Amino acid sequence: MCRLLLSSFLLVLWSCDRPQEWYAPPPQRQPIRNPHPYNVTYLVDFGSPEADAHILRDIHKYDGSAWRWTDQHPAVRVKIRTIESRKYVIDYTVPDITFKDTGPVTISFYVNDHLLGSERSDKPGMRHFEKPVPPGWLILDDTNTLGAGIDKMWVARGDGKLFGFIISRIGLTQ
Amino acid sequence: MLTPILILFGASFTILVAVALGGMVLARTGVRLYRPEAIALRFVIGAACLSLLVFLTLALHAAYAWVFLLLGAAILALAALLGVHRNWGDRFPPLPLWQKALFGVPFAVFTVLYFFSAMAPEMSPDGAAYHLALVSRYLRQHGFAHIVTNIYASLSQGVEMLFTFAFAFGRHSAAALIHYAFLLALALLMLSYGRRIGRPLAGIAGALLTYLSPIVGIVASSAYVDAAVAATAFSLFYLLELRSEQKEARLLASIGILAGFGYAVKYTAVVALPYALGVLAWRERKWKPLLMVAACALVLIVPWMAKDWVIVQNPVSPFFNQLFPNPYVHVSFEHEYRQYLRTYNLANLWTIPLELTIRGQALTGLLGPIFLLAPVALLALRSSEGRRLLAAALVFLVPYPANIGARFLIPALPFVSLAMAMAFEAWRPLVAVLILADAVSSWPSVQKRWSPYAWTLGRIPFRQALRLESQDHWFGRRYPDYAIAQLIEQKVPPGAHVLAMNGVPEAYTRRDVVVSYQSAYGELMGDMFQTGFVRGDQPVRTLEFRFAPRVLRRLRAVQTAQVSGDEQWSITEFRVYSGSAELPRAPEWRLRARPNAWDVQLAFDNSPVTRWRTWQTAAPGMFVEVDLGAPRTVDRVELEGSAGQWHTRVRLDGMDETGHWITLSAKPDPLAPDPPPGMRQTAIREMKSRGIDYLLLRDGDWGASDVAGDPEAWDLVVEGRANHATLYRIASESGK
Repeated sequence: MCRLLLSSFLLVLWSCDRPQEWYAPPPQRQPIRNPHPYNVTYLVDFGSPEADAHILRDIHKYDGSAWRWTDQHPAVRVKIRTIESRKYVIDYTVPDITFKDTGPVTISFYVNDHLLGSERSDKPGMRHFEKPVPPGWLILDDTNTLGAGIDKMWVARGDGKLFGFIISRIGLTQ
Repeated sequence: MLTPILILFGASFTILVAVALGGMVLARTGVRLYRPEAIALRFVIGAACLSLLVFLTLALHAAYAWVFLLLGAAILALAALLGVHRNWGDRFPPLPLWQKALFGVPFAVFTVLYFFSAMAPEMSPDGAAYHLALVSRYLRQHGFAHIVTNIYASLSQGVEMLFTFAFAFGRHSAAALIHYAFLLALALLMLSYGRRIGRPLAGIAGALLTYLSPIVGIVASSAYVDAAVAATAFSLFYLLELRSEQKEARLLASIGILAGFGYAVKYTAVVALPYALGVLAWRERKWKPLLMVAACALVLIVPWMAKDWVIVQNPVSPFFNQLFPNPYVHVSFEHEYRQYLRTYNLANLWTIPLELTIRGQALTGLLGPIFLLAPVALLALRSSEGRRLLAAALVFLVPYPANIGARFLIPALPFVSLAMAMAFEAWRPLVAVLILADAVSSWPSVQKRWSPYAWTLGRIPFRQALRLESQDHWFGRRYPDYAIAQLIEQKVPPGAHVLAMNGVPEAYTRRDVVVSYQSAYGELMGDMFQTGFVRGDQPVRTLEFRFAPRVLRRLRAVQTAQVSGDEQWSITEFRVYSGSAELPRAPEWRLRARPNAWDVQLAFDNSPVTRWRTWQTAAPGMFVEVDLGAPRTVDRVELEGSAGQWHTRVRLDGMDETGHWITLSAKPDPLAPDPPPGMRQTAIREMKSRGIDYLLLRDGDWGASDVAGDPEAWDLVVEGRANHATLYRIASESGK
């Protein structure tokens, strides 16, 4: 039995190829002619320090975190290459700490000052909102303003500063 | 109504066949068993045998439902012919009513929870991501698929073989029920052990401590394998005890089968074999029993090693890749994987006891607060049974430091539970109070109050188990990742490949998903993708070696620095110059490298998004070499590479016409060129040419925002979105 097992195992090992040592040169890749330039960032991810360049108002500066506090009417500016089939997207959080004081809040979403929609948060937590944007609201190859607004601000107990909500991503996707 | 019937048929047919096989094995041993012992041991030993038979069926590419039906029917018929069903052993002396109630009530209540949870649609992370995904794939292909892009396919899959048998009839939930059957067998055996040694209360309490543990409950109700490991380990312990008690019983083959099945179920249970051999050597001091046990164990171990050797050139893949170098798993991956499993990113390992017993989040599971009392198990050292239990616990704890997740304690838990119960059994009211408190605190709705983030079961899913609420509807409410699998299923044509940066529930799609961290190929694709948008990974650092013109046959770039940490050495392009002109890569050139010879062409393909990498910490002696085919005059070599190779040092050697190696330069000039334009498109085209057709990015994935910001710049087209993830198709002109 043992002998049979051992010889089968050795047979399996012997039947395996040793890895090849020398290789021929592969087919040569050619550079892309007229590559699409990476146009602009039109989805602003607040985990990146570069996101600060897109902030128009009411969003706190980069502090190493992907979650940024907003004031009442946060907004960013983005450029887009095409205006068709664009969706407004935003990832935001209504934190426990603010919700305890403010209770349910309503957040409204804007594209170039057009009201796209609003969402009521009856409990704290992370939220995602996305909705198609009518092409007529967008400006091709120029600055577009994407914003949001919260109806109730939270007052910090220690210093009395005002805070809106936490934003982690906002922009336009297809 | 058909689905629940098929689920129950798939599970019960598999269990029956296993019990029949185990019955045939045990019938030849002459061992005297009580009825519950016979049922449990027949199932576990038979499961090992059935697992091997299914392995052979898959190896022969004969995995069809009708083959399993015939095979099962033949086994049942043979068992009936041999009269295996007639002798189920004697009954234990009856337990007092209060002990029956003490065991029966919590056991029955939790059995309802576990049974219906197992029968409900399967949505456990690993069950849906790979245990059942692989099973489903094997059944689609009627045999073992040649999978080199998923490390989980290389792990031993002894229980997945049973899942395959059950899945063929009852699909996902039938498989989960098979796993739950192992927990039932384990509880039965633990209870029986106490009764056999004349300490029934210890058996009752010990069995319940394990059975009611939240992590045991959720794992056993899912298509995982850890409860099967525990049942196998305890069955092995049981047989060794029986062997010691009934010298005349011919149990060595069964002991060997279980010792080997441990490895077949999970690598970490490889300790079952040295444990069995050690116990036998200690007690019997003879060679023959050891050889018999080892030989039988190898019958169950060798097939898995051979499969891995044939498919991924490493018999213990995905581990020991430095010992068995292969193109399928990178050493760096293994290193990071091991590192993570040893700590789970816990800042302080002294918090492990609290994490395991009270918190339950960091180590992905909860044993339950009762196990804060585990040190009292040491009191069991006073009896010989206690010492043997604790010795077994110690053996099955040996692999734990390699993976400190809560699940990895399950194999040792039965031994610890019984030893704890032995320590308490003298105080009967205390035992009753502890069991009651354990049962109440482990009930999901109560447990969520004191440990809200632990991975545990929810309410009893009666309606979902009976499919009164459809799977799609239930998943729509409770399992958002299912929508990702469905998106892939709907949008990706058969035969196309999806690259995902993180796992998806592959058990619910028939499409091929390559998860970037699960294989060398996946990591290579992920590396190319990242090179598209991370400047530091692009060729922004060139080492220029200039020297007096020489006639050379070969050139070799050699690493000379011993780098610490995870810093790797990489070469995007290895360019050879004569005068001002680069020597074209001629067909007669030959290339090699160490390590990762199979990737050397990436440094000679003129692509700025591919690179040869060491995929392990850079070390002296690593090299990339080119044979020019004939003596050529050379005066310059440029090694284009990425940033971040701060501590690597490279020397350029050349072989002259006489075959002598000389050092051409050990001090290259560093240059900092700009990468070529269109890196994103170039990366995607390269990925397409290497077999990737779609890209799945969750919103939080590295690079997801870059792609979502301007998919056209990547040659990507949005195909759809589900649960915060976007599926992109690589535009058809890419890669051509």
